[in-house]
Amino acid sequence: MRRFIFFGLMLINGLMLIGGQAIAQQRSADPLPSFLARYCVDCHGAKTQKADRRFDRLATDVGEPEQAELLQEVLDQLNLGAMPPEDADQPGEAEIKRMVAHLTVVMAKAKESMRGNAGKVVLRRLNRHEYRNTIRDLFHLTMVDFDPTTTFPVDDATDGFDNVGEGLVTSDYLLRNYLDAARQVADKVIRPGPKPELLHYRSDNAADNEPQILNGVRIDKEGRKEAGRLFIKFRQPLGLRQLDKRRGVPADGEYVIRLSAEAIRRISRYKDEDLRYNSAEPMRLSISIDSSALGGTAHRIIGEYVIPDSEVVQIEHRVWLEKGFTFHVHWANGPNGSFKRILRKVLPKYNQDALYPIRNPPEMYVGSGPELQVMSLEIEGPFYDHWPVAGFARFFPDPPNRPGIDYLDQSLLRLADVAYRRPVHQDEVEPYLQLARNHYQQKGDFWEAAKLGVRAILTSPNFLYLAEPQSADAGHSGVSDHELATRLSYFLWSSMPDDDLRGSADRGELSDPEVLRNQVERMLSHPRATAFVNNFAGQWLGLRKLGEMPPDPETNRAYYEDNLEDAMREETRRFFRYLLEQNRRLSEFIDADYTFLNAALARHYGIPGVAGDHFRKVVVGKASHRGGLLGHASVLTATSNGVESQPVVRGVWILENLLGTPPNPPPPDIEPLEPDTRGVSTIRQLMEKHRNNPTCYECHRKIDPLGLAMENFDHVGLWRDRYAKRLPVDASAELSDGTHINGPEGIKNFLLQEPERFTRCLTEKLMVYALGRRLSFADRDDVDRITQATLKRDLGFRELVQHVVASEAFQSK
Amino acid sequence: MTGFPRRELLRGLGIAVALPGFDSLYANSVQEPANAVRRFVCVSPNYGMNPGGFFPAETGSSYRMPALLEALQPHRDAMTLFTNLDHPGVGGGHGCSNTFLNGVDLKNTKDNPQRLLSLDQLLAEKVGRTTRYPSLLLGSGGFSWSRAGIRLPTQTDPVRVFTNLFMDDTAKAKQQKRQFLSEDSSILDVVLQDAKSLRLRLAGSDQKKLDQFLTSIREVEQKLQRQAEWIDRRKPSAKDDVIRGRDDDDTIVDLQYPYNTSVMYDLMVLALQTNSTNVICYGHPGGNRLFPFDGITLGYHSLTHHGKRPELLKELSIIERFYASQFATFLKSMKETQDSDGRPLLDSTVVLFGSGMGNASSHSSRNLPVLLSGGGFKHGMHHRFDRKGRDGRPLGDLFVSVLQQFGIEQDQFSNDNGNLNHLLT
Repeated sequence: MRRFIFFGLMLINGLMLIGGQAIAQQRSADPLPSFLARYCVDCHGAKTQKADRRFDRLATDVGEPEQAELLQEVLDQLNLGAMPPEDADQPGEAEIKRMVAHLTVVMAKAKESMRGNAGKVVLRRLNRHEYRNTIRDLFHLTMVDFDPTTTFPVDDATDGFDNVGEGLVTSDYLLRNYLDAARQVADKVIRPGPKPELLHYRSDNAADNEPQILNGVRIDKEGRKEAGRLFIKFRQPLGLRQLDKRRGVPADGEYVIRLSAEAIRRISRYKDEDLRYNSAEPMRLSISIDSSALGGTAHRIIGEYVIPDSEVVQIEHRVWLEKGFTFHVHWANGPNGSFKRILRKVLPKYNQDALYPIRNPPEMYVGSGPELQVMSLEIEGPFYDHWPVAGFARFFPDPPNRPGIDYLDQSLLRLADVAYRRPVHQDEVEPYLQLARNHYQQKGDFWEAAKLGVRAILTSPNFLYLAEPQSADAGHSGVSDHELATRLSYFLWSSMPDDDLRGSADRGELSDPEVLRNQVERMLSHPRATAFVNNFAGQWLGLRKLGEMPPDPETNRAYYEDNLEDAMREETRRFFRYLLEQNRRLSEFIDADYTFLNAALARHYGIPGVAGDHFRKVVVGKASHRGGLLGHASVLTATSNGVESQPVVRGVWILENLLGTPPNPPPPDIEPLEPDTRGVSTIRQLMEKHRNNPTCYECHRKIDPLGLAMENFDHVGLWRDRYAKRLPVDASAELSDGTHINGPEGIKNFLLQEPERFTRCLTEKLMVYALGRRLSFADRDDVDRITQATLKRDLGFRELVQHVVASEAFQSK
Repeated sequence: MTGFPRRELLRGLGIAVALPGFDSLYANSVQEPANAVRRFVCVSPNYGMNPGGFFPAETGSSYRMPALLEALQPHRDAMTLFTNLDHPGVGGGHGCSNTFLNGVDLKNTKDNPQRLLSLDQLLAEKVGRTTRYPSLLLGSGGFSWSRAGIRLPTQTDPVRVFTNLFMDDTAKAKQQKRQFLSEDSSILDVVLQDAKSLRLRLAGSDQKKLDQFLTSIREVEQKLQRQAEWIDRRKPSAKDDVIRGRDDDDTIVDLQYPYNTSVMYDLMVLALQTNSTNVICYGHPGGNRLFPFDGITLGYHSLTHHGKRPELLKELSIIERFYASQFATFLKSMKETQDSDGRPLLDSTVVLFGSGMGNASSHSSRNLPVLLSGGGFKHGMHHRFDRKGRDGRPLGDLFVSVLQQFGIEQDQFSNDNGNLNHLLT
């Protein structure tokens, strides 16, 4: 995260305002300018402005936030001992102490005087995830296969997170998407009328009448009866014809899919290599759902079952299906490749008679090989726990036979009250009510009018933005209870408050720290907190980047066959979630003696004794190299390019995400040299060549050692002592402060010895994400306080989240 | 809306295209001179072209065609190459690809997002008013920016592009669309009112943020209006050979990238020919995909960081030659296809090929690959400019000449106020 955001032109403007004379007067009594002139201005002065920073006109007059940011930065650098660089003239220890003490006092005063005046952008719109979750919770929808946000543009991240208001752009394109999405949602939600009729389609093996045979073999040339067998032809899916014909189920609802199946001739006279099939495995059957209207993207596997040999098993699967969805069953591990190939090449090879069209059609022999027989197949539904469905009844309870204007008004008011996440006045919603009323009066269709009203409310800025209007009382800068509830729910759930939290806000209880604390506890334990894991950890640790540069399929088979990408992501999520749930110490992010594995990932890591697809906590020793984030394949793969590890990216990742001191981007006015890596055999040599360039050296002396020490991990996170060309890996390095480290363990030890840096880094990340805005100078106190409290009392991760919520920044605007 | 009694049949690309009469669509537009330039096409590979194979060694008209551009040899009289054009204010890094048509870094426009407006959209404001689509943005996007400073989305699916261009909705679908449009615009009336009153209650910096929403409302209102005007006008019809393949042979049209490049180019020619749009941008995506070509073993992104290693450069050139040869085929079609005035499309179309990335290997934004064709310019040369320190000649100078070719009275683009008229006219 870039903590300090204003420099360059803005700084100069700020200083101009003060006027030259004032500066001169200040300077006489101020020890800062002479200090800066002596040690800093060579690189950050009128002539050169390294890292875009200029200090020659900086004084201890903190009139503008931008100036304060710069002074704070000077103070930070002195505290860290990171500046001046080692090859420059160094101030003495006493001199540094004096300057640090002086600046600390100055900054404290500045913070006091600038409180609440930091010019921060607070207003933010819902990002795509938040919009989707909010719609889900507003209308109690099952948003697995219904997603009106698929065409929304991708939200840009600012300071590492895509919920930062400043970077969330609203375009006409997005607004059109909002209009379309609102229409889809209204159509889905407004469901008046009687419960849809129960449908029950069934087909089974026993019946011999023609319509019951589905996708079965037809040899019905001379009036012979159709083969009365229902089976999955190799990889060709089997479905219910009645349902396919009707283009899916007629209404949203819960459906039950039942079937019985049996594995026949798993081992047959056909050779595995001909069928491209593994007869050693038990047969597996999978059920998928899809929608012809939505196309391939809607396809999803909902269940997979092992089918034992020569024994009929009954399978029942309940699933929510959106209107228009249909289901199919598949032989998940059946013979590979096209059905045609088997018909034309394989069957005739084993069956001399099968020579189409001369003799018998090869289709006749389909049944002589392995076969996954489905004895019966049925679907029944829709079922509802309640009718009308909850999301409709919530706003349109007990609709009268002939609903009128009053009912329309009341219903839309109920919706606005929840959708805006605060109590609403009828006045402010009046235009929306008017819109719906007009439609009703002109067209006479009540429910169409209601839909129009719902669509309009879902397009309101009061719904799409988390607006926090200025309070009438100018001296009051605290957030209201409802604003606090909203901040909290978007922080921990990426969604709107539920009834419980809203109730607390309605009763004015949230300002009570104990109530607030209990809410946080409750919310962190709620399944919706998954959003915090996915969105916060996913962005902090760069998990979302995983898969952007996937490894080459030819040389990384296991990565694809074992679905390692998902497994890697899951490991880190589980680890994060565990630390959160168990309130573990922050140091476990760096070093832990456990991780979370399934069989595939354990195999990847070479850790024995883990079987099955499910994840579980596994204790791992030092020798495994897997304890802590730096050993997670997710992080290691996301910082590689699919072909090789990228030490620079890994170095930056550590600086940015664990140490909280991201390097500056390359200076824009200096043309980077084109790398020439001919004749270079190791990445270390390559980077040394790069670092010889003085403009690169400044940052790369911080980046490269960290990245090089991680070289023991390859591009998919496997441990290595040698490169592919047999050259040994040299993972030793010297950090910019002179510390010698060796390998990932060395970095871990370094990090563990500097607990403040990681604690502060994580605190800052949490604050940015929690507030949905960049941190400003005025938030500094909160960050300091939380960091110190966490260190002093050795607080756990869950407690850190509590502290962020309790902070002044979180509770004021 | 009256029907279109007159139908024309044009031939190009070997595809029959039936067109509704254009004149009625132009009834309100100013009469243009017969030789007017009114179309613009920009093709941009995200990672640029490796400089070693793009810039000729010699200047003037008898330069030797650079290795990557060999496929363009037949068109050398119809094109111009430039060395040392770039955008002065733009820094390096991956972001520079997106600055090709506007010459400004996103991070330098915080206070003035209008500066992000890109050349294509500026032109669309001028020549896009009389067509169904003001502009058509295809492939990977990023370098097209609206006047409000928004990076514009693109279409990547050729089938959908074809449908939008040539498939008329059913009467029922049209009726439904009309209803949606009128409902949406009534919703926006209410929302606008609401947003204005919310704005009054917000702090200053938040008001600015909400202004984006207000601007968007106005823009959508205009677009809904425009869409409503076009809903009843028949679309030109074209055979779907382009996306489905012809009936008489069994070649399969591959709609996956990169094989769909030729499909996209065919659609572009059709779109221009049928006056469906006058402005098209087409981007080749970056990313680390493995191109399915013989001889390619590494991802695209990895190859661009070749470090001058010959084996990697060789693989990279396979991809970049592919771009060039597809582009050459496009120029050929543009020459052979006539517009409604009976002139070759290329004569009325300014075609620009290039990228905001000068050298992907060092993420440099200097010395951009730039190739200009068509548009009634004087072609056949390779021009090399001097560099002053870090900067070459501003690319904005070329853009000014392009704007003037469209009859737009503008002598400045971005911060550059020169032009290249002396070389091109």
